Amino acid sequence: MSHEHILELDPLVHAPVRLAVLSVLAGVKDADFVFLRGAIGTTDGNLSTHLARLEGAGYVRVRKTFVGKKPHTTCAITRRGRKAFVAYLEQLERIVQGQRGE
Amino acid sequence: MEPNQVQEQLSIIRAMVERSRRETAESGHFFIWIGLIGVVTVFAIGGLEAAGLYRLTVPALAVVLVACGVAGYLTVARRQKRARVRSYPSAICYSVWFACGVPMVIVMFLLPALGAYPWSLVPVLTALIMGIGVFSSGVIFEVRAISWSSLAWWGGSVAMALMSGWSRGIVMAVVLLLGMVLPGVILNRQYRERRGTDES
Repeated sequence: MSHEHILELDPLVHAPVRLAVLSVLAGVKDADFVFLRGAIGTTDGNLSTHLARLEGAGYVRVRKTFVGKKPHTTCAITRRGRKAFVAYLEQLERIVQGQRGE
Repeated sequence: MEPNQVQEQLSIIRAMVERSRRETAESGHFFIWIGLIGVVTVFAIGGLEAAGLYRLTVPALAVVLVACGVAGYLTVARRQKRARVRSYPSAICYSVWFACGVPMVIVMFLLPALGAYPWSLVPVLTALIMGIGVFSSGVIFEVRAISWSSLAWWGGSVAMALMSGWSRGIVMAVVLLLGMVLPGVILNRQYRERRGTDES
């Protein structure tokens, strides 16, 4: 098994919750916090923590607005985030091919 | 990284992609409702003509259809704003229909009022624009049958240009069913299939 391939995996994307967030956002224009929480099956606090990390890295954009009086948080993947996600997928593919070759 | 860990990562990705795909499926309700309202409007216009109120028919049609378009767009825009997930195809499709709606208002109301052409040409020209919206929707949602439905609009436009009176109204009603309600039904079936996959 090639350890170089594994070490090249972006640790920001690799975490299951963050990977799930980017997987959802990669295919849509944007998604709200409630949908992400339900789709991933995690808690508010856990999701907020991971979103903050992704936002800090410039991988997602988080927008907080109000719909009536209710707060509404919407998340969208950035160009940088999409590139990182695609790079992660390509790296994963190389690992799979490497494992098949062994 | 162990093979099962790779599989786990791939499973996460696959599950999330499928989840968002199901959530963003287009229901087709917009097409069905506009199509049915259009058919009712056609018969209402026919009633006005049968009652001899010819002067009211085309302006009434323009007002009703503009009101439908505005209401539909406001409803759709409001739904988009509150949607948990917004997909690129839906956002583009609604923009396409807005882009069709504005010229339709001009074609149906403003230009004939300015004397550019007779009111009788309004359904002929409107059908041409509707065909653009339906064709583009088929391409956006990748449903070829919907794109083919645009032929009903374009063929109907030619047919209406060659006809007059009640026969034109019947052609318009048929075109609305084939070119608007049917695409909505096709989208709705796809929507139910995707949602059904979720529930199964």
